[in-house]
Amino acid sequence: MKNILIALLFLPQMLFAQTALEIVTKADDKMKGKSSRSELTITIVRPSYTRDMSMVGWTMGRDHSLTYIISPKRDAGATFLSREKEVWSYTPSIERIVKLPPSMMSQNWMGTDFTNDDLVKQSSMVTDYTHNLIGSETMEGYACHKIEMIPKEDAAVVWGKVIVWIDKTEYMQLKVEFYDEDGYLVNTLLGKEPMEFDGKLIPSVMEMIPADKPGNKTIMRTNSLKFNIGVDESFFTTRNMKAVTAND
Amino acid sequence: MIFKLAWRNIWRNKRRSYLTIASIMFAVILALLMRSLQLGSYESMIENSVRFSTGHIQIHQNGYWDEKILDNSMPQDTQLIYMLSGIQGVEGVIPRLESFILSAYGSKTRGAFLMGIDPEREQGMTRLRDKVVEGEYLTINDKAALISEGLAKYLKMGVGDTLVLLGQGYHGASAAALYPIKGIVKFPIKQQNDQSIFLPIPQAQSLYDANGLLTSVSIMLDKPQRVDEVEKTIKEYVNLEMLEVMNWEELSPELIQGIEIDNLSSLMMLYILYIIIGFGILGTFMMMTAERQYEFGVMMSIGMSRIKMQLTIALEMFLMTVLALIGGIGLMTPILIYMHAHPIPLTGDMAITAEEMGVEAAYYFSLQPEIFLNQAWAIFIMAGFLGFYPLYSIQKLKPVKAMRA
Amino acid sequence: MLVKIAWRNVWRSRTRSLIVISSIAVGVWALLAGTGFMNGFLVSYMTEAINHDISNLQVHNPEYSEDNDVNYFIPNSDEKAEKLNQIPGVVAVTKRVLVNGMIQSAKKATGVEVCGINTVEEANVTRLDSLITEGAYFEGVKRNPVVIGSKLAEELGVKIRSKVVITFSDAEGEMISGAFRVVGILKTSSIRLNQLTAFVKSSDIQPLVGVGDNYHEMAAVTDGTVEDSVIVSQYQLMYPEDLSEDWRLLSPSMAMMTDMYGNMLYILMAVILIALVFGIINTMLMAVLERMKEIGMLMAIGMNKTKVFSMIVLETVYLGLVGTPIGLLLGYLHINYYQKRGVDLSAYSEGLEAFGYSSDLFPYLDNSVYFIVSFGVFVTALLGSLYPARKAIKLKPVETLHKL
Repeated sequence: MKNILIALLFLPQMLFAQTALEIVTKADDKMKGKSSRSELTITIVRPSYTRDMSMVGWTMGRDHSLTYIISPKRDAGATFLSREKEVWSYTPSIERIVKLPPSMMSQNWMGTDFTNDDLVKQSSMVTDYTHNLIGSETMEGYACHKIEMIPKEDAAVVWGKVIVWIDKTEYMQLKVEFYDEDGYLVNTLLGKEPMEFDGKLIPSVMEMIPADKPGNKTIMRTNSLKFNIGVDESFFTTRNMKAVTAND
Repeated sequence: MIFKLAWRNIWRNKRRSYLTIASIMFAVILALLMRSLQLGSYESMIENSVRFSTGHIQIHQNGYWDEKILDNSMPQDTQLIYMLSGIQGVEGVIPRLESFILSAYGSKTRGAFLMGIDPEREQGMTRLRDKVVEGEYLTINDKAALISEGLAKYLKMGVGDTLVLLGQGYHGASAAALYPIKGIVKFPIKQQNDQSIFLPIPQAQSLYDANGLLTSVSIMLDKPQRVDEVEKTIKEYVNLEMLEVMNWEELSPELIQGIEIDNLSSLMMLYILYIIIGFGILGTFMMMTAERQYEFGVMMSIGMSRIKMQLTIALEMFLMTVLALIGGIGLMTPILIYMHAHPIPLTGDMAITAEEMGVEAAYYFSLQPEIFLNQAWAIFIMAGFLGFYPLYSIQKLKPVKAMRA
Repeated sequence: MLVKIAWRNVWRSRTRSLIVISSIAVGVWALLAGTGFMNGFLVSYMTEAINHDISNLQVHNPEYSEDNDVNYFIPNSDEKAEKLNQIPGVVAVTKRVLVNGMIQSAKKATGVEVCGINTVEEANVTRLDSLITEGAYFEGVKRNPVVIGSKLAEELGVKIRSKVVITFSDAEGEMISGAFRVVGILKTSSIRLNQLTAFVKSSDIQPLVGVGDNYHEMAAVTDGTVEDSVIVSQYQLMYPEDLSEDWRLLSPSMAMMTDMYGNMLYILMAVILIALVFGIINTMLMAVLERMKEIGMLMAIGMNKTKVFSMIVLETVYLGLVGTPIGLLLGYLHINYYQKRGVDLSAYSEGLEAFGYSSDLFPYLDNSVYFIVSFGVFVTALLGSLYPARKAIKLKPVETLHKL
């Protein structure tokens, strides 16, 4: 009886918190179908140069992914496999597969503003944070929930807080801001130009903008995206790194 | 008139004058010896440190020093290298292309520092060839790598095995290559021994997709004293908007600080030496004064004024000091020149360790002109200061008493 | 008889004697002070570096030195550490878990060696706690505290209580990440400690690495009564399967520096002693030449050459006997005074602070040095008297008497 009373007392708060968590969970699930195949173009913008790359990526669940580089020519055929916190690299020109050690994980992946570590995704936006709905704003013409995510004390997350804008109907992440513990903005991830892929509305362009490096950004454009393509564990193996082609 | 008197006085009692001159001369000799040895050890420290790291002067792209990444590379300019080699005092011009790379062999991987080098030029600076313990040294046209001993051990590979290199090149290009190991080099410093790889510059450039690029050009001089002069010449020639010219003092401030700390203790020893030689000189002066009491008394009673006597004595001491300084420096200059060219070698364990470290184990003597100037001044001022004793003694002199004594 | 004459001679020419006495006293004082301060430098800067960084000796699994795989730990390190601690000369032992990995802040990620320590043992061995310039030594943060160097902190853009994530491969080769909070920032001249190491509690890191309660490294400090190499071979006898090395093997460059520094001290001391000898020779020679008439008289009335020679030497010995204790006392008081207070060198070198050294220098002297220096100066004085004494007996009595 007493417990029920206490539960009733906190009910509104619990509902509210659960809503924020639910939104984030839905948004997280949205990006991770059971499996997927996508064709991407990545543009690296630097003050002194820009660089284009195109590639095909396959994913399964949250911790399996394989990436095949189509261009530039120098790198054509190179593949990256990330599987359960491990990252492997295959370079056709030297016909070698190398497992990247932890110290390499801090390096920028292929010269982008994403690190190898971003690919492995050590943390989960659902379980490693506490979530708070802090308002509503419009992004890219979509009404969004604005959610503040504070990492849990033990979570292996370097951010002080993360603010994410998730649209209210389709659960797209249209903007993510990463702050350090002093409250300074470090990175901004923008989701732009939502398009329908395989029946789901998804931002077709993602921009990663580091705050402390003016003139630097990485633009990732999704050209095609298919879900539930029927790949299994055997696709994400080091052996397949050599065998896979852009048409798989 | 006074000068004549003073000059005659000096040579009247040769024994006494010789002793006085000898004591000052000896002071000069010891002070020179000590300072030359102290500064010589710093010179060799600088020489070693500079040789194994940055060179006396380094040229790199503006911004490279703050962020040592390939994207901050400079163009490989043959004309610049040619021009630098032509500057008087430049002993070697050493181009390099350095970056981080992942090395792998079998199932082992380790991050390493890869240095693209011009093997012949590099030998002139870091004497890399002498560090080869297995296999052979590189030539510029080789398509092969040198690897440090610790790294080779870790990767469990030897000469002839094929090393996998994987990383990121210029402007985000991927870098991947296979190279046979031509030789294994051993470094005394563990960190360096555990993660160094060397490739000929053309290979490093193709690996990093950095054709026609260098990260730095180091310059070795025949004498470190020439740094300022050569740095100025270079700065007039290169485009400072694009390139940065740094001297070793800017490149390794910690070396300067280390020397500064050590110099504190050296100066302390020098001051202690001054105190002791000061006492020696004072002793001689006092003795001279005591000995000449009678003479002073006579001079004064025949009507010579105190001030005139003091002037004569002061001049005597001045002349003797100058003679001693000339004698001391004259004697020490050839000796130090010889010592500078023939450092005293160390022996025993220390020599062995030093050899492993790749440094020449010896006590070096410096020939910096400042040493001669500073020590001459120091002794001169000391003699001048101590010379007040005889003058004071004349001031207090009672002629009658003095003649009786 | 001779003893008396010589003693009286000493005090007959007071000024001259006082000069010799004071130059001997100053010589003794200078040598004591010089050695004391140089020792201070050696102890403060070099020994500190050895203590803080590599310690007197280290023990590893021989495989670990070549291949820093976390599985190459030292088996039974608890028992071994205790045995090592019991070897005479060993003051304290500490054990460390080592793993290479990556440390990450919001701003940057960079490679580090993660060093899991027992905080109390580590402080006993490397006095790591004394290097802390900001925050506290593993106090104030309850969960997963980490201590890093100021250079690393600057690079990562973190300060006290900032969170960092440390990532490494565990014993199974799996990538493991853990959140840590900066509890203290240390500052030292050692690049390894200041930029490339993250200190955490061994109890925090062991479960993550998955090596049970095993360690990869043992480090020990010794009190200097037993040679480090002897301790190393004693340990090696007990546990031949381990690799134990003293600091000379671990850091040949440091060994060479220390040797060169020590040798330099001897050379400089020799130069000072030569200066002292010269001062004494000069003064005594003057004393002899000044007294030619008197000595000539003594010889004319039948004093033999041996006696004259002994007389001059004895005079110098007296001067030494008076001067040396004065110098000893001065030196002792001087060293003792500064030993307690320290000499403030901050005015002379900014470098000290930048190197993470204290700008206070604490001179230090072994008791034996007092003895060695007094002996050295005394012998020097004696040597210095030989030439003038020889000169004295070369005098021709009649000639000297005629001269004046």
